[in-house]
Amino acid sequence: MTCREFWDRMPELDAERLSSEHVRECADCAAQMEQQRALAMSLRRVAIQRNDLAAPARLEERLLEAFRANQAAPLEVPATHLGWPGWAARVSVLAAAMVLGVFLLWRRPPQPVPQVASPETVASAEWESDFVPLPSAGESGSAEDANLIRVEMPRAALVALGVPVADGEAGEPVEAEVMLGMGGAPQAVRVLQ
Amino acid sequence: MHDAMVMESSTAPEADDELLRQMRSGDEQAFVALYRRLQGPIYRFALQMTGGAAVAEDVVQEVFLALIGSNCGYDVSRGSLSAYLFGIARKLILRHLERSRTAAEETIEGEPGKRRSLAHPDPMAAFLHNETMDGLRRAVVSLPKRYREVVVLCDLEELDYTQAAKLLGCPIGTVRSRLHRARGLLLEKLQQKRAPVGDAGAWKPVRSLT
Repeated sequence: MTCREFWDRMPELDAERLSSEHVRECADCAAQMEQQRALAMSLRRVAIQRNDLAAPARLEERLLEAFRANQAAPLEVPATHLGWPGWAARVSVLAAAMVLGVFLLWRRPPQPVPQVASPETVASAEWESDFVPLPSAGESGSAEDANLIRVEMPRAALVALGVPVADGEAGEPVEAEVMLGMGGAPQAVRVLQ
Repeated sequence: MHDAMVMESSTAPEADDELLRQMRSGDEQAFVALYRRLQGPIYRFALQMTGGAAVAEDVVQEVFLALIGSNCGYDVSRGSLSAYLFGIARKLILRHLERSRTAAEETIEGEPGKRRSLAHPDPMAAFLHNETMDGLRRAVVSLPKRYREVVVLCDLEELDYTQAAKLLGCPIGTVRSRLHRARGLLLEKLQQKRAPVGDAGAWKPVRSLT
């Protein structure tokens, strides 16, 4: 067996070949195999060192909030015609749910009266239609840059966001359209009449 | 092999599926248990692929938000839950890497010769100051992504070739050849940077591959 034939078999990926006949006969390949062995051991040490790495605890708390929000008001995502992968749309809708949960129920002080966005507010946010910017909207840009998805949201949540919505029961689901920025973050919402 | 990384072991997938079933019936503790079982490997995969803790955190978040969603597309007949979530994570990671690459190229437009240094901010200099493990970690991150992901999956997360091939959607032979090439590149990177500091004999490239 030539050296080329030996290495073409990718022997470093198969421990049984570490003691192959060619390695015993070829000092150069034996040295190179030793380097491969040292590399494999080093990678193993890196793997052991990083075994304890995990996402920060705050993420578990955030996801738990999202889980609870989803249990309280499951959000269905109708089929989208926007070309987004299905999972991406779901992630974005759930992100919207998180926004609602975080901003309306937990991290915001009680709001005395739900505010309905004025036409001026909408215009100042550069949205061209009747979309109402979400509190977390951080991306700027025109509606042409955004993607739209349809969701069902509790009426009370829409009212608290300042979205004009017809009278009805607070928990009643209302069909709405969420505008997603280029990064997939929810930017604005409007009710579908 | 890591506990949660055993994608096709005899017990873990069934346990994950049972937790998922309980989670979908509203069991909060089941969700927490499932999250704690699976988040670590996904986080490490994302961290090693992107080199950024914030990005890795975002990836984990989006993966589990997708799982929480009522339209989660997991199909037990097509593989384990772990593999399904890793597939989502991989798509997110590749999308992030593509965006980052595009941003870097836009930033350095008209400045030839700086592209490499922006894509991987001076990993070579780090070798001179951070021997052994830290240098190796950086070398892994500096690999081209198709080689990086096989090293991360097979060498760091210890998937076998079959599991990695399933996750990457390619033949086992492709996984092996990429891993072969990746290890050769790692040795070359280590050798190139160790030689100037008088350690020339320590690392040699195996050979010029492909």
